[in-house]
Amino acid sequence: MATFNKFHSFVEAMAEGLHDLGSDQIAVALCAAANAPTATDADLGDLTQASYDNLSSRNVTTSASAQTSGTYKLTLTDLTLTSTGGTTGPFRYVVLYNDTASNDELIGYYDYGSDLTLQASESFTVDFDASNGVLTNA
Amino acid sequence: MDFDIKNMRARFASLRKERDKIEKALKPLQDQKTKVRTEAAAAEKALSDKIIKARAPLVDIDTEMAMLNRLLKGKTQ
Repeated sequence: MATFNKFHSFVEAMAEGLHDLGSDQIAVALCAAANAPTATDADLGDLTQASYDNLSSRNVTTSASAQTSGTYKLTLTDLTLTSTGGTTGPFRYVVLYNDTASNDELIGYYDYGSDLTLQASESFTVDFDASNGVLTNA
Repeated sequence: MDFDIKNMRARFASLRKERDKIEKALKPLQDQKTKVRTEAAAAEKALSDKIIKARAPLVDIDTEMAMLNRLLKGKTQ
């Protein structure tokens, strides 16, 4: 499982009410190694994304958004992306962002280590940590 | 800085007065913001509840798709 890296702006956006992670639509964006996201990126517009012409839906299903003993945890369901009719990529980074927020504010990203390309008819599962959650806020 | 006790007290009183004036002007703005937020929160809560209910089946679907993709090693079609 790739490591989650949060964008710096996310913590301020959370504190100032830009995210409702319980019901907002979270989605993924894909970036090639040559277009790596940086921690100081804030909105989707800051990224250079891969083409999604052949890709299935990038919407992520939120399975839980709740706190226990004062620690908030966001849990997402694994998302399977399928390329149909052609390739998708290359991409190395899978970026989480809030598609409901007015500026598509960024949340965090996973680095898969090297570029990968989905061939036509191939699928790729973004494996979110079901136990520890994608992120916590204590 | 003028360290004369009398002058410092006068300056303190002046700052207190200025502060109270600014706070008085802020109050209706804060009240307005509270009103806007309360109204928006009620509408957003109703919508959020609908979204959460409607998307519930996606959890099982996504989980099964991910499991199948792992078993198929990415060759899903």
